[in-house]
Amino acid sequence: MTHKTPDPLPPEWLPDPVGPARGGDPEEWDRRLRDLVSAAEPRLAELARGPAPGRELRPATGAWLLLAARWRAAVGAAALAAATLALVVRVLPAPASSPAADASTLGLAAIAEQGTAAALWQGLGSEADPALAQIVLQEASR
Amino acid sequence: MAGGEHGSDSTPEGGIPGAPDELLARRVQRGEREAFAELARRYLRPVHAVAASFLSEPADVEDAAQETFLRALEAIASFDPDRPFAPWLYQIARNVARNRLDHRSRWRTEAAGDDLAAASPNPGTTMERAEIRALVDRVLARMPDQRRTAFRLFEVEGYTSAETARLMGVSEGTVRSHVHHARRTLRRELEPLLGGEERR
Repeated sequence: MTHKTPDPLPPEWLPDPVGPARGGDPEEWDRRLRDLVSAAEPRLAELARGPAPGRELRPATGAWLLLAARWRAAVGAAALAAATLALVVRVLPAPASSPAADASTLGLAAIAEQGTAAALWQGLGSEADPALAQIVLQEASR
Repeated sequence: MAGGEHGSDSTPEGGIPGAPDELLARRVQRGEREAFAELARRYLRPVHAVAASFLSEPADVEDAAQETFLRALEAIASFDPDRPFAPWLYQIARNVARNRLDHRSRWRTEAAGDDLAAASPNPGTTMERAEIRALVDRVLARMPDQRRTAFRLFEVEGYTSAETARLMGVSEGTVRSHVHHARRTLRRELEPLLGGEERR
C-alpha cells in the first residue's frame, strides 16, 4: 500500500474495550474462566467416557472433505466411462446375425484353409467378403 | 493470545502453558479438563472482543462468549488438529454473535437509520463523549464484519496486527488494510460532524 495509513483515532471516539489484550481485572477474568469450565464439565465428562456404543466419534472435517473429493472423482470417472461406452455402442454397427455377416469376417487365414481365393468365392458365392471378391476378380483378369 | 500471553497469569484449572493450541485441542477431544481450561484462558478475552464487534449489550457479549466455548466443545470431535485452532474458534464466535443479533442488541443501524447528521442532537456544537461514540458505533455497524472485527481487536482492544491476524486466520496485511479503511471511513464520516473536535 503506497498511501499513508491514517493516524489512530482519538481514544475518546472509541468504545470501551471488553476483551482487552492486556490489563483488565484479573479476578474478573478468573471468575469468568471458572464459570466457563464449570459449565463445560458435563460435556468434558462425556468426551472422557468416549463415544457411546453405536455412536462413533464423527470424523474430522478434513476426513469428510477427503471422502467428498474422492467420491466426486469416482463419480466423474464413472460418468466418463459411461459416456464413452454409450458413444462406442452408437458408433459401432450392430452385430449381424446372418451367415453373410460370418462370411464377411473371413480373412486371409480362411483363404489359406480353403486353398485359393477363387475356391472360397465359389464356396460362399455372392455373400462372401467384398474384398475377397476383389481378389477373385484380380486373379481372373490375369 | 497464543501460549496464554493475554490471559490472566493465574490458572485456576492448572493450565498447560506453552503447549500448542492444536495439541491442547486434541487433548480436549479426549475430555481433558485442564486442556480445555488452558484454551479458554488463552481465548476468553479475544472471544469477548469478537462478540463485542457484533453485539452492543455487555450481557449479550458475555453470554455469546460463553456460548462460543460450549459450542466449540460440542463440536470438538470435528476439529482437525492439523489445522490452526484459533481461526476455527473465531468462526464459531462469529456465528454465535451473528445468531444473537436481534432488535434489542443489534448494532444500532436498524433503529436509528443511517443519517449521522440527524443523529447528532446538537450539530455544530460540542458533542458529549457518549454521543460521539454512538456515531462511531453507527459507522462501524455499516462496515463489513471482518473489517469491523479487525478494527475492534486492533484499535479498541489492543491486540497487535500479528495477534489479530492469527485469530482471524488472515494475513497481517489484511488486518492492516481493514484498519486503514476503517480509520479512513470513520474520519471521513465523523470529522464534518465533530468540527473543531477532530484530531489528527
